Amino acid sequence: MSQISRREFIKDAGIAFGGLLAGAGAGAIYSGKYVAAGVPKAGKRLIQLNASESACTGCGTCELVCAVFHGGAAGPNLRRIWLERNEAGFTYRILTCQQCDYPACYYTCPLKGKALCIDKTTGTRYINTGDCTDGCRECIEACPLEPPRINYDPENRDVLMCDMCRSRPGGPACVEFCPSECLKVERLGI
Amino acid sequence: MSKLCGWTGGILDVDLSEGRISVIDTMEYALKYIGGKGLMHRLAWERLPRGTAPFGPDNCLMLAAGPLTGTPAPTSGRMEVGGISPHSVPEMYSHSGVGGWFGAELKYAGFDGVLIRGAAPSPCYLYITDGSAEIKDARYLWGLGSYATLQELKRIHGNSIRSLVIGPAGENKSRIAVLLSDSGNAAGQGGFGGVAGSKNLKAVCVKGSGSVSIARPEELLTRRSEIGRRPTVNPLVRDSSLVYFGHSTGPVAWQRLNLSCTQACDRFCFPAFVDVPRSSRGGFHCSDFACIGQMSAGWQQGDVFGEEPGVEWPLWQQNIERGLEVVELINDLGLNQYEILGGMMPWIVMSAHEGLLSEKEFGFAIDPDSPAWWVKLLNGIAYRQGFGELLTEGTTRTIDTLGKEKYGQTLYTGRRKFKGVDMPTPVSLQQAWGYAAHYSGRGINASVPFPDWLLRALTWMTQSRDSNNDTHHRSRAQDLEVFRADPYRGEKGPQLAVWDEHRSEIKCSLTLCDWAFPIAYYTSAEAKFYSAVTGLDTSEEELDFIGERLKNMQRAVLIRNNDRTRDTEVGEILPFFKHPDGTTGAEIDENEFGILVDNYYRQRGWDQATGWPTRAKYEELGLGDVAGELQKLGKLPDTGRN
Repeated sequence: MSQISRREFIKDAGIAFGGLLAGAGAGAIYSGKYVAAGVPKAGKRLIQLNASESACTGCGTCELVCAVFHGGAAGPNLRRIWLERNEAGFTYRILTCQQCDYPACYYTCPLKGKALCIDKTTGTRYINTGDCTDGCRECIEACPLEPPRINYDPENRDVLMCDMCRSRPGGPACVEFCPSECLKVERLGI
Repeated sequence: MSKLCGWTGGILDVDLSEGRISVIDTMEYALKYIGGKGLMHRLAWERLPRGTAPFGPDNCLMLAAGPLTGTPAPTSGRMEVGGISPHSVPEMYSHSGVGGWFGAELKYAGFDGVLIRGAAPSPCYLYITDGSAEIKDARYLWGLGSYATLQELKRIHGNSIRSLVIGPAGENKSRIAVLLSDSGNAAGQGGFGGVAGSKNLKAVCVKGSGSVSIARPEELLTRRSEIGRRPTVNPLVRDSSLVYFGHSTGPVAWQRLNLSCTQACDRFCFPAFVDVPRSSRGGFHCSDFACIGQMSAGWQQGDVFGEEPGVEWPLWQQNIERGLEVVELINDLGLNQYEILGGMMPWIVMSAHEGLLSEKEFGFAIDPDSPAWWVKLLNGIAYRQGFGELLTEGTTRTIDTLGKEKYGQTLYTGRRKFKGVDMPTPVSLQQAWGYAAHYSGRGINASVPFPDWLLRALTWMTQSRDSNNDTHHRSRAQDLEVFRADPYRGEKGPQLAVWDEHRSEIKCSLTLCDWAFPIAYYTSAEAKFYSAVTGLDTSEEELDFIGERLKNMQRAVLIRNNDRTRDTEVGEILPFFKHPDGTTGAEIDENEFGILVDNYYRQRGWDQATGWPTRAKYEELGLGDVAGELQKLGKLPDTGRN
């Protein structure tokens, strides 16, 4: 909490500073909490630690606990995180939503603010599946990352995206359950 | 019947001769036999009658996952493979566990198991996806090595496809051929690669997008937290101070890290080698290697040969580069690492030392220190060339063909000492049922002292294969003390063996890792995971009861198909244990062992004269129909009284 308050303070200071330098233009974007009106920056995102800090062992626990925490079942269509195994090359990449500064998914969503939402306090981009009524999947199309970091569950016609486990008091389940501690919540500040 | 959580509902029934595919309802079996190994025991009873030949079209290649497979229950990604085994001596119903990601993917595709019968007219592979399966042409894959086949299947179906494949050894119906998975894990013992080859089946691939439902997801995650250890050190190991069997590994040129060898693993038992300077692969997984590969690469035992209790090798000059190459070639050809490195190589080296084997038999000089020799030998086994034609039948059959007395019993006179005292050992370290010694006080894993190996003798005796893959005798220290105080006549020994056997059935049916479980100080773990996933509140004792049912189910198959009796199994196990062990030179006492077997059978409710379960025992376990059939065959001990 203290960190957020600190950022709030810096934001305010930044805006005030930008105001002083009237005409400096883009300065406000980089120094502020907001990337555009009503679109706050994300405060944190999930990253896979560099191999020199920890090593993914390829167990897939992140995918499993993600699906089970959010969906109550385990399966490839229920997860919001992907483990890409390359057994021959020894690379294990963990892929998930990177909480883009300029979230293409959000701008594309026909129900933005209702279906694809941004948490006003934390800046976390998330999908409110209850209000995403038609599962149009335009957010998946819009995701600039390859592969797209939004999953689709055809059974329930739900689009699923990492929401940093915002409803989970202990933080992201994948971070907590990763047996080799190679996932980390990265704080994104200014 | 409504679907319970955990199971996905169907067992795929494939007839390759007819090209027919149908689905069996899992729930006909699930509650009584759970899945995995237990399910296969029952299917073997129903579908593998007496006289089924391992390479005949009537044999079934069975793949079975369990209710926990594909969930976050720790180490639950494993599955079991089974059928009539060509490796076992005599040929009989057996099984093999396999890790990796295949089992979980099979569940996501909507199946708890696969039963493959018949034989395809030409090479094929089975492609399983979301509730359906297809037999596809594999003529262009036939002849490829395991790794190339895996890569080719990924190229066709995408990187996330999961496969079990055979190499040239399986195609050529070697009795020691494996099914290799894309994680490098293999269904190794049992020779099921050869069974697939006899069916013209190059691979089984699966891609699923379904899910495994979990009755109490939050509880499952809590249970996982309780059991899962938080690592205290980074699994990335950069220095070379890894200690194994008490010996430093010495400097190894490449970074090592520990990898998981199955889905949802939280253990990471084995190291892996990365950045190995080679062209074909970037390194070696723990699962490419397992325990035996590491030992035979020789990087962990230094030059302590012969002077440390239980450390009996190396018998040939090993080094890590050659060790890795050997392991890779064995996997690529689709051969059984344990059989070759743990049984065949010691036999070849010791026999050559005693002048039993020479260039004349081999066709080329016996020189395990030469890389070229290994390539010749392994290719010979996989392609049935020269002496390999014989070796591909497995070490036990090779020795039996050449003459058991001379080629099996001759004493090795090379260096094998303990504290300066010679320990005579026969050139053959085949233990029983056609499998090489394993954690039984003798052979390549000889570190188990007397009397602990007595428990191995008991569990190996009642099995149809090497039992130390999944029955590791995890006991609490205080129980072991009681057992050791009176090893032959006490009740504790049989009690520990029985418990371990039941837990072996349970973990391989759920499925959980056959190495990590059971946990001696957290014995209720299996029951807790089973309850949370399926929603069936099951106590540890209730699960043990199912374990007993499964053990007796398997025994019924062996009694019906192979005339298993007390005399055959005691006679099979004794010769190996009559040799002095590798730690103190202790030998088994035949008469006292008879008392141990008496007590074991009595505790199990089996007749002491025949070793057969009684009708009352079958009925108690809900296997009345099995008792009925065995009675018709005159294979119930109380037949006369009924």
